[in-house]
Formats: sequence, C-alpha cells, structure tokens
Amino acid sequence: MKRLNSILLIEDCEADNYLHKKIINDVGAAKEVIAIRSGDEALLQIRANHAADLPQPELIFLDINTPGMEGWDFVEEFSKFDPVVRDGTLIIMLSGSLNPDDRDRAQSIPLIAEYRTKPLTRDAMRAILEEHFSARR
Amino acid sequence: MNAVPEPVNVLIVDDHEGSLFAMRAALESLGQNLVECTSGEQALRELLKRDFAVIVLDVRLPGMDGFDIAAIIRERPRSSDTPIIFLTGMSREEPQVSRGYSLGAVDYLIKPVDGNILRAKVRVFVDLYKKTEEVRRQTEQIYLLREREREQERERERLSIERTILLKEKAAAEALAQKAAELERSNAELKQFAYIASHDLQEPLRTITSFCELLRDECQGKLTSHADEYLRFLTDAARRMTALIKALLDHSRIGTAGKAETVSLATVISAVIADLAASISESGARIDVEDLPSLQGSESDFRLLFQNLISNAIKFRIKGKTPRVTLSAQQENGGWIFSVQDNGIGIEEPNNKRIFDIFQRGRSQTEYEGTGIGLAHCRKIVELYGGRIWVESIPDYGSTFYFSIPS
Repeated sequence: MKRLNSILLIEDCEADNYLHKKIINDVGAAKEVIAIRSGDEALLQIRANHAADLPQPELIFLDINTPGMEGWDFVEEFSKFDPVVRDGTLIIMLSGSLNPDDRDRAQSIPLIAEYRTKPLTRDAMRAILEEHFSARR
Repeated sequence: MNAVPEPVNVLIVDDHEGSLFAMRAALESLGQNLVECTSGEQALRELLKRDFAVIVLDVRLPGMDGFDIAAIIRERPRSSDTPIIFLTGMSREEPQVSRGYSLGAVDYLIKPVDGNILRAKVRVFVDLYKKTEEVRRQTEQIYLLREREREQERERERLSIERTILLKEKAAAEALAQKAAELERSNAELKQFAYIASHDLQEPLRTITSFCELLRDECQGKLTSHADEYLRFLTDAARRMTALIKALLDHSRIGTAGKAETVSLATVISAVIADLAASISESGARIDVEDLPSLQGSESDFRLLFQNLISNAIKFRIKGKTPRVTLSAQQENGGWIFSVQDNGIGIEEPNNKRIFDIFQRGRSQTEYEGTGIGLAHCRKIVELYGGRIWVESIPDYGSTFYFSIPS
C-alpha cells in the first residue's frame, strides 16, 4: 500500500485529532500527520510551504465546524490558489454532521473529493488510500 | 320661493241664481277657481271634497241657514280657520250680526253686494291664503332641510363609528399579524435550536463513543471483569444517546424538504419494505399491501411515516406469533384515510394521545428497543399535511393506526 508523505488535519477538536492521528499511524498511511486547528492557519501554512518550496500535504481531512473560518470557506479560499500549488493535494471532508444537506453540499463542490462522517476508521483510511492513491504516481 | 301660481278655490253660496251670477261676474277677473252652490247642503258636500281660501255665504238659505252652515264649517278641524264672508240683507246693527261674528265670520257684506268691494275683500283672503300656503310650504321645506341635515349628521356619526370600528379591527389585525410573526420567529428559533442541539450534542458524544471503542479494543480482558462491564454500559448508553440525537435531528428536519411532488405510495412502501428486510425476515412478518394512491408531497416524509408505522407493527409483536401487517387506504371527502393494522401486543390506553409525543414510550426500553420518537415523527408529518393520526387497539390482539391526508 502506498504511504503518503504528509496528511493535514484541519480540525479543532483535540480528541478527534488524537484519534485520527492514531488511526493514520496504525494504518501507516503517512510519514507525517499535521493537525491545524483552523482554516485560516491552514491557508497560511500552505502559503508558507509554497514560499519555502516545501511539499504540500497530499491529503487534507477537513472538518466543517472549525473556529473562525468554516470548512466551506476554506475550500473556497483554497480554490483560488494557483493550480501548481493546489494540484497535489486531495481534500476529503470529514464531518461530524448528521445533516444530509451537508453531504449534498459537499458533493456539489468539485474540489472536495469525498465526504465522510467522523470518526475516521482504519477501514476508511485504507479505502481512501486504495481509492485515491493506489494508481497514481 | 315664488308665490303659488295655481288658482285657489273660492266657494260662493247663494240660493238666488241672480246673486250667484253677479258675484261670479265680480270675482271672475281674480282668476281663481270659483265653486258655486245654491244650498247649504251642497256647500257642505263641496267642503268635504276640497279646501277653500275663502267662503262667501248667504245667511238666508232654504233649509239650513248660513249660520247653521258656518257652525258646521267651524267644527270641522280642516275648515275651522277658513274665513267666511256673510251676505245679508239686514243692516249691521241687527242682533243677528253678532251671532255671525261669534260663529267666526270675518266680514259682512250687505246685499245688494257691490262687485268691487266683494272682489277686493275676496282678493285679500285669496292673497292671505296663498301667503299662508307659501309659508306652510317653506316651513315644510325647512323641515325637510333640517331633516336632511339631521340625516347627514346621523350619517357622519355612523361613518365615524364605522371608522372607529375599522381602526380597531385594523389594530386587532396588526396585533394578530405581529403575534403570528412572533410565533413564526419562535418556531424558527425552536427548529434552529433542535437542529443545533442535535448537531452540537452529537459531536462530543461521538468522541465518547470513539474512545469507548478504542478502550474496548485495546483493553478488554486486560482490566477487571467489572471494568469490562462498565465499558459495555458506557458504550451502550453512548450508542443509545446517538440514536436519540439522530431522531431529534430527523424530527427537526421534517417539513424542510423543498417542493411537493407526486409520490407513488406503492413505490414508497416497496422501498420501506426493502429497508426493513432484515427485521421482516427475522420475524417472518407477512405484510399485505392493498391498492395505494399517489399523493402530492415529499417522498422522504411519506417514507419516514410508513417506515415508523410498519416497523412498529413488526416490533411490537406477540412473542411466538408471526406478525401480520395490513396496509390499506380509503377515500373520504376527497382525501384519504390510511390504516396500518397489526396483530401485535396492542396498547393499554389507545386514547392516550401521549404515545404521539416526542420520546414517549408505550413499553419499556429493555423489552422493546427504540427511541420513542417514531410516532412523534408520524404525527408531525401527518399534521404537516393537514391530517390527523389516531389509533384503535385491543391489548394482546392488535392495533390499527389510522391517519388522514386531506385533498
């Protein structure tokens, strides 16, 4: 199975970050897992990476309810990046919402590759790698 | 106001044709309507027919004399004020004259009458009559004007009262509209609250569930046997609370699905039966579906409605007895009445409407699993469509849930 270099978690719940890091590590899905608590900070990080010529995360798990900027706003801002910056990054919305409207909305946005409900499980993590990263690169 | 143009009536009474002729000749130039009589009786008959401006009355008449006639004229209210000029052959000094005045005579003329004098006197009374008549008409006119003014005053009052009523009604309508707006706002807030509560409540709960599972996966069997039991209770409670919150969210979302479409209930039931396949095959339930119509509405509403009623019918079965569920629809008053009949445990108090309240349960949680919100969903959906839901039931025999959907 493909092992990614870097996964970014945009999530303000410490427990979720702890759990998701553990799941990613248990599966061995990435060499590095970074958790950032808000969309604004994540955008800054992506810009900083670009400026310093550092690689971008290959996968972002994005929560909807984050402090300040919502997940939706993050995707909107992210879409404004130059394709060079954003092309190597896949966004999966990982939401605690039970509301079907959120799923519909996510599915209508091309930049969101998938919509999944929390918590991330080992099986889900494996399925994501299989689905999006096995044939590429 | 102009003087009355029409001629007025003048009555002349004398039994001598010659006298009458002379008087007619004298009065004709006045241009009035002369009525001539040769007897008192004839004169009285004329007086019954019309009013006179003045009466010229010969005292000496055959039968009733002039005074008798005058007395009768005076007695009648209609003619009591009509001026009478007596004609007499006697001089003014005679005692008869005073009798004449006492009977209301206004003047005397001694025969043979001078035509000019007669004409002058009659003209005075004719003019007086005309003037009196004009005053009477004017008075009547004034009275009518006043009456019209009073009428207008009453109309103004009526309008003012109507305006007051209108203003009050408007104020009441505004107050009502305000109340409705407040109610709508509080309703929207309540919906928002239910949504946020279910949304935000379930986030920490999911964390509890996740870590309970993690704990179980990593530590089960490595702790004391008590600890394993605690973990089981924790996990069950968290799972149950998740179901309740999900149910609350579903409840708050009922009626939020956009526009109405034509929904085939037969299709809906097929989907529901497919969803319930596991519990149907496990219980061996037999579900009979009679002809069902198509309705205008939201498919998800009808699906949730039938899903709850059918799954309840299977869930509350008598142990050891194969559940039988019958769905039917009947047309009534242009709308439909649906029924979902089962042969289950029944309801102790079918008239107790609380079974349709949120989180109310007819049976204990341990005996029959569930959130207790299913029938509340059903009632909310049915009421959304303007219908009502009720149940008829015999304990240990079965229940039939009915609901109406008006056209």
